Amino acid sequence: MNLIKIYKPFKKQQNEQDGNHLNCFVWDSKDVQEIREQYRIVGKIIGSTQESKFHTRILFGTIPLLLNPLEVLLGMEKGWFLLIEDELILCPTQSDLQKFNDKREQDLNNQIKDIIETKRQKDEQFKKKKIEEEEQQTNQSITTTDEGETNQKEKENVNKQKQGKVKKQKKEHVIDETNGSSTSIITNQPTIMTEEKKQKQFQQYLEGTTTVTIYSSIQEASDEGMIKRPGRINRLVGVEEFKKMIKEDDPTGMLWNQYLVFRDLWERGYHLTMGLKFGGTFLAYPGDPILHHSDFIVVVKDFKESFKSNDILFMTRLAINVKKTILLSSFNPNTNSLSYHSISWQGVT
Amino acid sequence: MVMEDSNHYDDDDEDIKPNAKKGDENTIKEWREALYNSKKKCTRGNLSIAEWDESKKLFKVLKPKGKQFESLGHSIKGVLHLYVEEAIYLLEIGVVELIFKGLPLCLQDAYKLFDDQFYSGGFPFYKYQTFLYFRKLGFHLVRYEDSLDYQDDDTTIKSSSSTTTTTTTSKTNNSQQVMILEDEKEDILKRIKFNVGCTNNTTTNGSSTSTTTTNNNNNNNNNNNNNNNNNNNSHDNTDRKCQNWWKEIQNDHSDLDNTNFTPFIDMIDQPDYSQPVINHFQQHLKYLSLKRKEMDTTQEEELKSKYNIKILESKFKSPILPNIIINNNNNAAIAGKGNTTMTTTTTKIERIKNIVSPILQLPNDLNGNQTINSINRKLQLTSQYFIKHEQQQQEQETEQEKSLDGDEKMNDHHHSLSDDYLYIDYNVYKPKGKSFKKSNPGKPDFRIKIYNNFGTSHLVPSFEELALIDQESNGFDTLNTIPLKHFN
Repeated sequence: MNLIKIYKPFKKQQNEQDGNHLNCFVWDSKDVQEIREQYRIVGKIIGSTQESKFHTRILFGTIPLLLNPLEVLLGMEKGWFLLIEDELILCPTQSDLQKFNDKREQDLNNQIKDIIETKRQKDEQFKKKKIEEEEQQTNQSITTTDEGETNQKEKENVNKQKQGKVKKQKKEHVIDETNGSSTSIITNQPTIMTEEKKQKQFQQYLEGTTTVTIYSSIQEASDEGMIKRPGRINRLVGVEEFKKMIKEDDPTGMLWNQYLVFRDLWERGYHLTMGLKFGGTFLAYPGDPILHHSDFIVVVKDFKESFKSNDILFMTRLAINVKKTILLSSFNPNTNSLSYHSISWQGVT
Repeated sequence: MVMEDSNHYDDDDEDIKPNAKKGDENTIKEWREALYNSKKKCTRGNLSIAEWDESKKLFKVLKPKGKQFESLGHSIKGVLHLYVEEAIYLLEIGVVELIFKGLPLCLQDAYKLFDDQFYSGGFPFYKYQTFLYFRKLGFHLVRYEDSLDYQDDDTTIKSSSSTTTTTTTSKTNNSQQVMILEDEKEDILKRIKFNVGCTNNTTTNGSSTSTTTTNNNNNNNNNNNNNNNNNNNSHDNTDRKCQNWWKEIQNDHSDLDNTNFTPFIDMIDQPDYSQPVINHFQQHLKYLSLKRKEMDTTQEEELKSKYNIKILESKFKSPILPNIIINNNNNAAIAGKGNTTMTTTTTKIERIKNIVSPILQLPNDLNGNQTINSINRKLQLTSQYFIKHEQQQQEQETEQEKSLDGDEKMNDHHHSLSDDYLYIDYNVYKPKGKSFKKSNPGKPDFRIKIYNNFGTSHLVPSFEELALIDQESNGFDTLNTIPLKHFN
């Protein structure tokens, strides 16, 4: 079984107690699928695809997957995740730059070749079609005499035009011969220049049509050998260290309580997301959140925390309106176990 | 209400088993398809390139391409720059290549820029998330701090003010005719200010026209200084209070859509109103009138019949400016008053019978690209925050003096909005098609303050603090001419 690499890009700021730096990212699509479908960890898909049919749907997206600290800790404890604190090395070496530039040029040239080949093929197909059509027309003209006369007239016209062109060219030649070689060079120069310009314009046009890929993860970029920044310093973070980090940011112990509830509900088979939408700490789904509505609004409280009767009223009243039930939960330090209370409101139609 | 003790939770799997449906497989397939569609491709012709500027901590745009830059970026000394969040948003869409120390960034590397260690005084990631969310939905976001001092810094406006000075000279030569060239048309349209009252001066003397032209220049440089200046310069207007009838139109679009709409003017004296002055508005009308003359033969009849407009000739036949007043039974008397104060009216348009089509569409017919909204924005009826800004600066200076004196306790009691806790992050503009321009965004639809971990760790700001934010966000409206509803 492969460990899934998750990345922690942010370091703790001074005086920060938000736990903002504890968020981690998953940068591989396969891993995201595995996390979601095998391990039932939902996270939050942040990246956006370029395909327009997904633009209106918020739930559909690509990497990265954002994992909150609770999800990270669960995966670390279960032994699925490999937490990497990665750092951006600022300066690439000159050889790297050269490699990159060479790769870019190769890519560009290949693309241009492809474009030209496809154009040629299309032209050939077009020519074949034209020839076939002409053959058909000639066959028709043989059968009908009237059309044949008109065709002959057309042909004569074409011949006249050709002759005219030839005459013009001859005239130019004559002028050149009379004036001598020096002037002929001057007259010839602008025509050459225009051809060069045309070629340049054509090149620019071709380059404009070529594509540049923009990579979202480092892995993608390095797989294709495009972008490599040397000497990345990657530091592995263990479970205990991550727990320490959480406890540093959590003086009240609330986050730890949340984690205990989170782990317990996960082990009972629920998909869990953060419950900000409905004013709770978690939402518990019976299946994948794309396909199911959540059953419970989980509210985690401290064991000794008292709350007002009004609060219960708000919570239950809201929950019954969205067809959910409130699940109050807390960790009992005396018995070292979790206790749950679900409250439902009766009499609402 | 029944409380159940579910301490011993049943482990029945029946409750938890997902109910499989027919459409489920498709949605999961689509979800996977979207997931694996992570690479972005952009044609070289449409790709814009930006480079990291280490000293400014901004991305300097080397090659801007595409529509995105109509609402993104800001220019520093004529060069377009992008904030980190804007640049990474563009990278996320796959429109830009961000070059960092010679190599282009991939998204994973780019996220590192949100790290505080690397980018001190940086932009936290959770703010980027909300920024991204709003941008994806089509909203336009402008940093609040930028909206405050945008008009001072932008060099393009200053340069264009020089062009308007040429127009003023042409005015003085022609004594009373205002000539507008085609090139200057757009410049003027960009900077039309809603300023009534200088019309008094134009009829009296040629010299007074020169005073108005000075006002023009002031308008171009500062939005709101012109209010002060005009109060000083204009002779008799200081006492008169003006109410803006555009405001009602702006607030209630539903009325305008109704064919039986009657624009009404509220004549309650508002003591706080300062004197608005039309300068560019006149020119705009002049331009419109020129255009109208061209249209006279062909389209005007249609327009008249369409909107049921009758054009009455007034007694004063001065060639300067027509004052278009939409007249109705309710406010005929009021409009008459307006005419007496503004003596230069030549024609007025009266709408008589039952209206055939709503006025809302009239600007569209006069000029293809215009809507009521765009006109309102161009008039900048509501974006006058300069006075407030000055006051802020003064306050800050006084605070600094106090702190220099050593009264630190005073500062503790006084909430300053520079605290991140109460600081407004963005002006947000709703997606309204083509009408948004970053150079002249107008009034924001709403403002946002982004909190991290909302609901868990942060307390909701108290009413006192909310009032401070309100004062900050809406203060300039109450201070200046137009009172606005709190848009929450």
